[in-house]
Amino acid sequence: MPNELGVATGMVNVSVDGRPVEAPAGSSVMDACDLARVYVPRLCAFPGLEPLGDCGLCFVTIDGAEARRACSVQVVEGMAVDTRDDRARGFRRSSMQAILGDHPHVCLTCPQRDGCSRDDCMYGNPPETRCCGEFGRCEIAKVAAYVGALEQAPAYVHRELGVIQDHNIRRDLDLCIGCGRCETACDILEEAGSALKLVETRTLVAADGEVWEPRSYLGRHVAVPKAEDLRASGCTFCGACVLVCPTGALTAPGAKGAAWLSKRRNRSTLRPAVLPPEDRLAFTRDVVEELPVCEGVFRVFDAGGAVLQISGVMDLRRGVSEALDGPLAGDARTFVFEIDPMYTQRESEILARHLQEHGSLPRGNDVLGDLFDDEDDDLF
Amino acid sequence: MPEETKEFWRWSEKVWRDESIDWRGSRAITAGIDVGSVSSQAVILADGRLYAYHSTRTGSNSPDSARKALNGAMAGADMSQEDIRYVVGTGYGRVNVPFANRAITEIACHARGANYMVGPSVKTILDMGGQDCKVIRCDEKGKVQNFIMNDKCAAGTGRGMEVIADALGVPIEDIGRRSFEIDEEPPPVSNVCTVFAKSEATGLLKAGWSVNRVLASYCAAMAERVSSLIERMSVEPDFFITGGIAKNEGVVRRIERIIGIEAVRLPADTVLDPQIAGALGAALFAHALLKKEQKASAQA
Repeated sequence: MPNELGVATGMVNVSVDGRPVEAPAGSSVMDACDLARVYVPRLCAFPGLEPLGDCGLCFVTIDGAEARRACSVQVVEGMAVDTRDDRARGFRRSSMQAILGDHPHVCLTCPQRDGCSRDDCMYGNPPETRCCGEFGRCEIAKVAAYVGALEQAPAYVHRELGVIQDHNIRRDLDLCIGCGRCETACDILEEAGSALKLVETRTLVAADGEVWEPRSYLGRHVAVPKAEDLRASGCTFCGACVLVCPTGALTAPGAKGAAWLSKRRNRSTLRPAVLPPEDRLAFTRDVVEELPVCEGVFRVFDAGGAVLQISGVMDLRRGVSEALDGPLAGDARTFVFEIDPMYTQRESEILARHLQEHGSLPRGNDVLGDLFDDEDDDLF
Repeated sequence: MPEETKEFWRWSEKVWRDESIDWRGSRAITAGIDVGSVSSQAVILADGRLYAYHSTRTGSNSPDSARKALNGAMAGADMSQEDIRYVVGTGYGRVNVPFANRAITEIACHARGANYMVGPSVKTILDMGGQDCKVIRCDEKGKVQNFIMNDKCAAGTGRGMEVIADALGVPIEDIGRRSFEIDEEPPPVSNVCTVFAKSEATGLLKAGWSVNRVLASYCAAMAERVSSLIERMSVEPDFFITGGIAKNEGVVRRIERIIGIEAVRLPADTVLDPQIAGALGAALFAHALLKKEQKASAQA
């Protein structure tokens, strides 16, 4: 309802994929989708930050009419939003492909992506076209997997913009997609120092005879400090830019960096990111009984989404049903599975990745703990 | 009569038994079986002490390979499977050990086995298997803290070494020694792909390289490949190498040269073999699990 000043107030009722939701007047369709817990892909938008609106990933269909960007349309009473429409999904795919043309991505579609040591590439892809150290963790990979059709993304052309260790923060300009999140966060958050700006990528590309052209609309820009480095630009080292960066362009490397960032995260006024949902299945008897009888690996999660167990089994249906009767059953809520004839190796791969990310084994895998205590042999 | 073809890749299968132990006098016989992609091992413990082991080639069928390994270890001891009270399966075929009471990952078992072989000082383990390699960090009890593995590609693993042995007609046990019988260290071969190893090696021979030089070049490439994996984990001594390649000094010494840390060697008179680390760890877990079961039933 508009008030006497013509400013929208109160709540409006809309539907997202048929789900009714009440959204504050003046909020965007994307906000309404987030409220309805229906994921709409995005790389420039971030909760609480005004998006540039240029990534072109959040297309939805409104009232059955043309596809629009969910971030740039305001909700109207009675509006029906469809996030699953094929046309909108097609637009998202073309946008994503263009963005990947400006960002290294060969590892995302590599058949060896999960077990890769990331040292040598068995396909001989040059290092600068391969994914960075954030591989498997970064938001852009998750969004790209959700949007799909990555195989058609154009080959990445290396821009050689450089990597700068700027105090605690490592800035890899070649990984920057120009989404603008860091600049916006730096400008509006109270703890931040407004130290960043977007500059035209082309001005930084080494003039090497050929004229470099961005593939995506976002790719026209990259984020840099306003002065020669972060400190000189008034950076408060609040860490917000690293926390919002959807790529490996802004990271805090090493154990020291990770410790620093986790402290910053705890103090940050940022809202949590909205990430693509994983297709998790309910950890219930009826679902498990529908599982295929074949080799594979499954992962079990608790209510908070934390991994409880990672197991490779000869028979998925039997394996998951044993877990259903196991000691973790009380806490387990969801699970995912994948079919893989090399299930023991696959299990090791997923465990290795889990250890890199979390530093310890999932509870269900850390069952040997009490076998290491030296006891007397009196029992025999 | 068809000419007998010599299999240069064939490493000697090993059987060992401690004749000083009368297993009938012990209260707990446990076993660990490691079914790997290339080799399978069985280790038998009597009251938690190493009693016997056998190392054999893995066949096309994991349950048969597990049985073959265990039968080999029991052979001559007048022991049958019924005498073994707890069996733990490990290795890539661990779920396929039909008579195992439990399966435990090879990562946990290699760390536990290395801890038994070397002692609490071992902190970093490089397991060089038949088709993959892993770097494992463990604590003083042999409990896994972290690990990384190479990608799915089998390049530069035990199987690759077998292919090279065959291509060059050099018995696999001689490769390490011969790889040092050269005037000057050659550059590493550019391609350690197991599929192309044979053609790469014959190509170098045709280009005038000596057999030893090709061996040196291949060992160097293999060492280089695993060293980048090791360096990602940051090695904390003591550093120990398990798996078949641990017995190839040509690779081991080149790894040491690259990472600048010496690997622990077992004493020359040892009865232990780095290839049995996984099965040994599994047998130790079997012993601990049996104890735990006994304890639970004693309390009940």
